[in-house]
This record gives sequence, structure tokens and C-alpha cells, in this order.
Amino acid sequence: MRSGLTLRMLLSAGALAVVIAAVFVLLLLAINDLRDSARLTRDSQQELSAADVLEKLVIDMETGVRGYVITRERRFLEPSNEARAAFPAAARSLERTVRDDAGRIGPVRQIVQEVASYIDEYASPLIRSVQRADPSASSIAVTAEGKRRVDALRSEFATLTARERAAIAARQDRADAAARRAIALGLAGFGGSILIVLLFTGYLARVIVAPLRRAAGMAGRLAHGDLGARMPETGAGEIGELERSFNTMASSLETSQEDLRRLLDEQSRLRRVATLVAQSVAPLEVFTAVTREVGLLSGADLARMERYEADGTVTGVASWSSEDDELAVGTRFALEGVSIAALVVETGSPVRIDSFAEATGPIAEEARALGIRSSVGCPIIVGGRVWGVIAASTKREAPFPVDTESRIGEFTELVATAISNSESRAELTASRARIVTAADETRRRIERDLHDGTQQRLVSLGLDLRLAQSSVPSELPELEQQIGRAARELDDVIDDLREISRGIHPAILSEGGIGPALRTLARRAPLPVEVEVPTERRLPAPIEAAAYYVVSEALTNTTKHAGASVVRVAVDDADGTLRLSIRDDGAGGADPRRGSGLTGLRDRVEALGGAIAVSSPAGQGTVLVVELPLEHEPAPSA
Amino acid sequence: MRAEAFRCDAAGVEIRALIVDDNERFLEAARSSLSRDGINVVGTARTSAEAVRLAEELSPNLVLVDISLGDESGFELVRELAERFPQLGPGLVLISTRAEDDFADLIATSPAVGFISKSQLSPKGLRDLVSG
Repeated sequence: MRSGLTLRMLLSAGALAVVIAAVFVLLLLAINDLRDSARLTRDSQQELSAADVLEKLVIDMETGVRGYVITRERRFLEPSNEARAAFPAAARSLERTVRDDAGRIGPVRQIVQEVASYIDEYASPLIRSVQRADPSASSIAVTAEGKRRVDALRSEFATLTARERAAIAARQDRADAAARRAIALGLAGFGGSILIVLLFTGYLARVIVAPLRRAAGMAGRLAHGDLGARMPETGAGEIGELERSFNTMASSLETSQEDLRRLLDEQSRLRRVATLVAQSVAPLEVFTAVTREVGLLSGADLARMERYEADGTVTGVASWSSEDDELAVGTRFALEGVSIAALVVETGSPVRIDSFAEATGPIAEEARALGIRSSVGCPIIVGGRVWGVIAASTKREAPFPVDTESRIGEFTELVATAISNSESRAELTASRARIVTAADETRRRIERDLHDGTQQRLVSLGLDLRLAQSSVPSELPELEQQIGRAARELDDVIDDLREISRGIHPAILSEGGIGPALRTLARRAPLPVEVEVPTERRLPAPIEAAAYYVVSEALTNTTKHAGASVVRVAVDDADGTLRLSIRDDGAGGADPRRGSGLTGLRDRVEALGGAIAVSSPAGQGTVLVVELPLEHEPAPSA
Repeated sequence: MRAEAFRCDAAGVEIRALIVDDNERFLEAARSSLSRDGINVVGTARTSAEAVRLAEELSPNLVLVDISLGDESGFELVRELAERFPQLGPGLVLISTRAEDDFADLIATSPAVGFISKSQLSPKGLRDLVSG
């Protein structure tokens, strides 16, 4: 096959060469024929001319002999003698012209012999008899004899000449025919060669040029990004090979592009999830996104993320389906029988199950009910512990590609990071909340201890002192006065202690909640404060404390810096959020970062999962807005 | 009613006081202090339940209720007493070691006739308060 096209070319060129060579051979043969014919014609003409010479010699001899016989003058014998002398040479000349032709040499020799016999048997004896003056020499009989012989010779010559002329004419005809044949052959050869060249050119165009043009066109389409372009693999030999190579190249380009596209797709999915993780969105949102991305990426029909519980069960935390199949989420499954979850927690590594046909247990039953053929799963490892598993399942016959586990693995790392971050955040938030709550609780307890213990005793002591004072006999006014002084001093101490207690913890907050507490704050403030608290319901103690301290700090700041004429405090309790706003009509321009009071408040508010915002444009007063989630709890964790 | 009570007192009608406080020491001091000034302290209670029972049994015309009754609220007790014994109305007084303006908002909405600081507890103060 490798040399197919070359062989075809060689065969085609060979055929052309054979045709041309055949035409040339035939032409050469024709030319040879013509040359032979010309040579034979020349020989015949020489023979005719030599015969002519010989015939003339015979006539000269006869004329000479005849004249001599009549005149007896030797003068008349001259031409005859010359002719007799020239005869041998002329005879040899004639014989030489036919020496190669056995068919023609016979008649020529016969003529030569007859001429010789005329000379020897007639002419020469006659001349001698004349010379001897023999009278019979002039007899009618002798003359007639001479005439008969010469006539016979002349007839022989005529026959020879006629035969040669006929032969020449025949040869001429043959030569003409050969020449015509040669011309016809030449024309046919020329035409045939042109036809073969045309056919060969057409063949070349069909088997080489057209495929090359197709290949060029396809290369152009490939260059413009149409990687689906293919060409028919019908060409012979090297062209076929070229076509196959082109198609292979296009296929491999297409495969490469597909690989690249898949890789980019995977990267962008990873980036989306990583962004979610970096944004610290709720883990459930990350779980849902990851499950969906894993499902789409692996070409699965179903994907589910499950969390291992301490009691040996698993809980579905997120699921995704290419159709509308409902995979249980929030349901606990016992890890009995065959399941990806059981295998993953057992091995701590990615696993795959190629068939659920024979499997038992609740998960395998669910898989069979959904028509799942095979599954692949990867562990989610958080802090060295198998936290959960993400599994992709397909209903198709073909199992997942071999690299599926490693591709899912990239996502499980992100999930682990999200969980770990979330746990850390939750721990941090809880810890901050605990610190704030513990501090509040301690202050509340100290205030209460002071109240129940020291203050009560001091108050009782005061009553006792006053009792004692009133019991002093009137004759001891000094003692009465001393006791009175002590009682008044004790009252001052009690007042001081009350002030201290109030600073430690506002009793009104525990007693009456946020509304009375804020109104009490307002009453004590040195500037008018309007308080609007539409709810009287009690809120969690940390929320009430935060709200109280926020307003207290804000009022302190406003009094100190703002130069305000009125402050409006509004509390709104809706959608599970306590919204607190403190608005003054002061100078504004407050720097939210200034002062440790506000920083402390920010810590307190954020510890409760809330947010604090300060807006203080110069000349437009200050607005402090605090939002505290009432249902605050740490994010879902392991 | 108020004017009548005052008149009654002024006319020598006996004041029958019930003191409700969870602090034994204060109960003693208060009892001594008030008794000395001619107020008949008919009983002392340390819990809300005891206070309600004694109010029923002893028919006091003055009840001093500590705002901070341990885990119980003096405001709640005052509300309950006012509901159950409407005639007690003018004689319901809140007391506390804390200052009045610490609880001003709650005191204002309470059925109690007034507040008196424990350290300022005196028959004169009480009489002033009750007489309005």
C-alpha cells in the first residue's frame, strides 16, 4: 500500500512508454521497408540500364555485322568489334546488378549466354566467312538466321525489361502502402499518446490534486476552529495515508480541545466553589453548590453529600439530580449493607461500586429504586477525621471515567476547608458570645450579691442606727447627734454603693427588660431622649444587655461630643432581628473607629452575630444602627 | 379612699403593716423601726405565696413589698395583691435598697401607690406616701 501511488504512476508512465515505443518500432519497420524497397528499385533500374547497354551492344554488333556482310568494308565492322570488345564488361555489369537475387540471376545469365552464343556461333563465324570471302555468307538463310537470333534476343530483353518494370511497379505499390501505413501508425500513435497523457493527467487530478485540494480546504476549516472537519478516506496509496493522517490529526486536535474545555470547565467550577468558601457563606450553601458541581462535572445523574453521625448513621446534607429524582436530604440512613458511604468510611479513600444489583441495605435499595447502575464516592476529611462523603451516581451502563475520583477529590478539599472554616468561625463566635455572656452574668451576679448582701445589711444597719438614735435619752444630745451623723454617713455610703452597683449591672434590665431599661437610661440622660420601644416582650439576656449598653454608650458619646438637642432611640423587633437605632441632631462627623467604647460595643454586637453601623456626616447628626439576630446560633457543624 | 384612709389614720385608726422581703435581717430591722413609731407590723413574709396567704389571713392595710424578692418579682406580687385584694390598693408600697429612678418606669406602671427606699424607710415617709 505504501508504494501504491508510485506503482500506479510507474504503471501509467510505463503504459505510455510502451505505446510510444510500439509506434516508433512500427515506424522504424515501415522506414526500413521503404529503404529496402528503394534499394531494390535502384538495383532494378541498374539492371534495366545494364540490360539496355547490353541490348545496344547486340544491335551495334548486328548492324555492324550486317553492314560488313553487305559492303565487305572493314569500316562497317568497327562498331561491331567495339561492341564485341565491350560485351564481357557489360555482361559482368548486368550480372553484378542481380548477383544477390537468385530468382533474377537465371534469366540474366540466359540472356548473357544467348548473346555470347550469338557472338560465338553466329557473328564471329559470319565475319570470318566474309573475310574468307565465302559466298554463303551473304545468303538469305544466313541473314535470316542473324535476324532471327537478334529478334529472339531483343524479345528476351523486352521480356526482362517488362518483368523488371513490373517488379518495380509492384515494389513501388508496396512501398506506398507501407508509407501510408507508417503515416497512419504515426498519427494513431500520436493520438494515442495524447489520449494516454490526457487520461493520465485526469487520473492524477482525480487521485492527487482533488484530495490535496480537499485536504487544503479541511486544513483551512481546522485553522478557523472547525475541529469537526473530516475528509473521506478514499484516496489510494500515499494520498489515502495523507487523508487518514489529516483525519487523525483533526481527531486528536478535537480531543485535545475537548480535554482543554473539560479542564477549564472544572477549573471554573472549582473557582466558583472556592469563591463561596472564601466568602464564608453558610456551609449548607457550599454543600449544595459542591454537590451540584460534582454532579455536573462527573456527568452523573445523581449526586449527594452525606455526613457521618456519631451514632454510625449518615445524613444526607445536599443532593443534586440531572432530572427530578428526589434524593433524600436530612434523612438518616443506617450504614448497613453495601453503600459508598460505608466503603468510604471503612477505607478513608475514594471508592466505586460498579453494580448495586446484588447489594442489600437501605442505601442500596434506594439506589436500585432510582435505577442507579454505578457510583463513585470520595471522603470529605476534616481535621484527619472522615467527616462525610460525596457520591456521584449514574444510571448509564458505562461506569465513570477513571479520573473521576481525583476530580471529585479537588472539591472535597474545598468542602473540608469550608467546614473547617465554619467550625472555626462557629467556635470563635460561640467563644466570643460565651465570654460576653459570662462577663454579663458575672456582673449581674456581683450586683445581685452586693444588693442581697452588703446593701441589705447596710440598709438594715441604717434602720438600726436610726432606731438607736431615736432611743437615745434626750439628756444625751451629743450621742444622739453622733449617731445621727453616723446614720447620714451610712446613707451616703449606701448611695455610693448603689451608684457602683448600677454601673456594674442595671437591675432594671433584669427586672423589666429592654423597654423600661432604655426609658430609665433616657430619664437619667442630661439631654432630651425620645425612646420608642413598641415591644415589651423579654428578649435573651445577652441581646438585652447589648442593646442597653449600646444605647448607654451612644448617649454618653452624644452628650460628650455631639452638642445635640435631642436624641431618638428606636427599637424594632421584626423578622427575628432586633434593630436598634440611635439618632441625634448634633454636629456629626464622629469617627466610628474612635474611642474604645464603640470598639467594645462592636465586639459585643459581633459576638452575638450582629452588626453595627455608624453614619455621621458632618453637620447632619449621627446615626448608630445595630442589628442583633434574635435566633443567633452557631453555624451547623459536625 | 385615699383621703379616707388618711383620715382614718389621723383619727387614730391602727396601721396594720405586712412587710414582704426575702432578707431576714432587714425584716427584723424594719419591724423594730416601724413598731417603735406606732405602726403595727402584723406580719412579715419572705415569699410571694406567703405574702398572699398572710394578706388573706391578717387583713393588713399597708403592705411593703421588696422589688427584689430573690427569684420572684415584687412587681408581680403587687399586681397579684392588687387584683385579689382591691381594698389594699392605697396601701401597696414598693420598697428597695435601690433608688426609685432605677425602677421609675416600672413603678409608674405598677398598681402600687408608691415607692420608698429602704434606707429612707420611716413611718413619716410611709404616712406621707400613703396619704398621697
